[in-house]
Parts: sequence; C-alpha cells; structure tokens
Amino acid sequence: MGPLTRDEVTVLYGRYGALLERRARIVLRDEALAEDAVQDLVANLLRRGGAVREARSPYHWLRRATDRACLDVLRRSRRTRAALSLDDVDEVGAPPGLDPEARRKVLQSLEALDDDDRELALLVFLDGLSQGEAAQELGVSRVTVNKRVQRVRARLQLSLSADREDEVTP
Amino acid sequence: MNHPRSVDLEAFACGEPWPDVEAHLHVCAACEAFVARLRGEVARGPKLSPLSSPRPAGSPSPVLRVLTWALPPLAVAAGVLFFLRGTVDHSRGGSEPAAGETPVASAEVPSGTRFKGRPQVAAVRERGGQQERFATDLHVMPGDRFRVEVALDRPETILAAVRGDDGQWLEIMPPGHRGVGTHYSEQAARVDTQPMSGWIIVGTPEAVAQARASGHLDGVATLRVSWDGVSPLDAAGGAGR
Repeated sequence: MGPLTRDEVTVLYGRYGALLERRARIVLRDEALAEDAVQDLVANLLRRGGAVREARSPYHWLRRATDRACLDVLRRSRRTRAALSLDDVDEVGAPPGLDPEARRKVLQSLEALDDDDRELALLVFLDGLSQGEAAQELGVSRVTVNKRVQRVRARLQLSLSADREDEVTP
Repeated sequence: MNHPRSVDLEAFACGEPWPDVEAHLHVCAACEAFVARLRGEVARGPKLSPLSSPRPAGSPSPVLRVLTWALPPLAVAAGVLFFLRGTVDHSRGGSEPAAGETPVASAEVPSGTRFKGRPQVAAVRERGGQQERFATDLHVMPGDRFRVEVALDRPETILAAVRGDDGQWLEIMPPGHRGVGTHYSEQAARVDTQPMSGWIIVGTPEAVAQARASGHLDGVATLRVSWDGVSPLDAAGGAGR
C-alpha cells in the first residue's frame, strides 16, 4: 500500500492524535514509552501507512496500529517502567458497560502475559469486544480466541492471587 | 443495555460518521457523557509533534524529551471583523487590523490524497488575548472573536457560515475551492453584547444553502455555538426589578 506523505500524516495526526496519545498512555502507563510508541507509529505511517486511505474508519485502523506500536515498545523495553496509575494518565475513564476494575487489572498485568495474548487482552478486556469480534479483528478462529482468553483469565487470576498472598504475612 | 464498542465511540468523538453511535447517544446518558469527555480530549489536541523530529521505528529514544504542542500559533488575520448580534439585524463593522496581525495561510496537502469522512470543523476563539481551539461546542461571550478551522480530506468547494438560532446568517468563509488540508477563515466573527447561539455550518454551497433554507443540518458539518456570557438584562438586575 505504500507510504503516507508527511502532509497526510499531519492531517491524520491533527484529527486523531489526541486519542491515539491517550491510548498509548493507557496501555503503557509511562509517558516516555508512550511517546516512543507514537514516534514509532508515525515512522511506520511514513514508511507503509497507505492502507489507511482505504479504511472504512481511519481511526479504527490507526488505533490498531497504535496498539501494535505500544506492544512493540513494551516488548523491547528493557528498563523498568515508571508505571503511573491509570487515573494519572486517563481522565476520561472506562467506557460504559466495561468493568473498570477488570480493565485496570488487565493493564497492570499486561507484561505478565505472553506476546500473543497481549493484543487479545486489549481487545477483549480493555475494549469489550466479544470473542467473535476479537477473532475477526485478529484474523484467527474463535476457537483460538477462546483458548487464549481462558489462558489470560487463568494468568490474571494467578497474578491476582499472588498479590493477595503477598499481603498476608505470617 | 448494549453499548457501542469503545473504539466506535472514540471514532465518533473524532468526528467520524457512526449513525448507530449517534442514535445510541440519544438514549444513553452514560455513553453521551463518555463521548463528551473524549471530545474534550480531542478539543485539547495532541500534545506531541512527532513529525518535528521523526525517528526510525525502533530506534532508542533520546534522553531529553521535549513535548511540544502540535497546534500551530494562530495569528489574528488582517481584515474586516464582523459583528454578530442577538437581534435579526446584524451589521458588519470593521476595525483596523492590530499591529503585527497577518493573514493566516492555509495548510494544503497535494490533491490525490483521499480519506473517507466529512469536513472536520473546529473553531479558534480569542478571548482576552488567549486563543483556544474547540472541536465540539464553542461557548462565546461579549468581546470574543472566533475563526473557523476546516480540515478537508479531499479537494472541495466549500463555504462556512454562522447560522443563529434566530435565523441570522453570517458568511465567514466565502465559497471557494480548497485543497486537502486545514483551512482557516480569513476573517473572524466578533461577538457583541447580545446573547447569541447557533451553528457554524460548513459544506458545499449547495448543501449550505439547503441547510439555511430548511433548517436541517444533515448534509453539512456543524459546530454548536452557545452563549456563555451574562445577558445585559441579567447584568442590570432585570427589567423592572
């Protein structure tokens, strides 16, 4: 699909950048890493972002690209995140219909998940997609999504248990 | 109640057309409030200017980071100031441009670029020497001046006007063919002491004429203008009090 021009990126970023930055801050909860992710997103748009021209929703397309940039940054980041609380990076809050505490716990546990499961966790537990919608979004089968969702639930419960166990000292 | 997906709400808040979301907001206060908060974020604009210092993807980030505001400084344009009044009669007034005022150039993107969507409308308000950009509701009070900002994703002949709830009409961006990119009205509208509310309307000349005649705003891009000031009557303690 080819690259986007700088002017095209300027138009897109002017329109969508505020919410894309919000997304990066929420996923990474680290201002510096969020900025890195945005820089990577823009670099990728300049290299091969042409597909957004044909997207039904440019925002949908850009937000998926932002998620991937964030997960790449998370994967290669070798320093300990100065993880901020969700309230510090997001004044808007959780969307209606989503359990805010579950959303918070998923974001806090993102690093504990496998690479394959992180993007799914964002779609299902952060954005409230059904398993069918997530399967379509990721281009995998519903069976695959179901297995990964069970795995994520199991992993989160383990990490949650560990936190609760740490609080109980003999 | 089933709510739209958050990504759809966010896309709608950015100005993308999502009829299902729009219909849902009429019956769901929670989603309406959520979209209002999102629009607040959109109105504040992105904090970063990643194009000012692009780095290859995956490269290490610099130790020092400077967050720069992406919104360009907007000089007040030279030209005639229009006065908007709350009564049906409105008059055009002029003032000498202030020292240092220069016309605002439009940022144009080469044609052939095409994204899907309507013109995006915003307003830049100047109040007390401070400029602020509004992508959703614009609130005005006496003495404010505001300019219209239009982002086009395809070359188009458009015009922008302010349509008061009382039917008054003020053309603020004359009809003209404009390229892809962001355009600002060359002239600013000034609000005087009378309460006013209405809509900033942007579209093709045909669509705008239709909206003006019918009062229906379906075929145009709009931005609500609301009165934020104290009416002279209230300030005076009310007639007969």
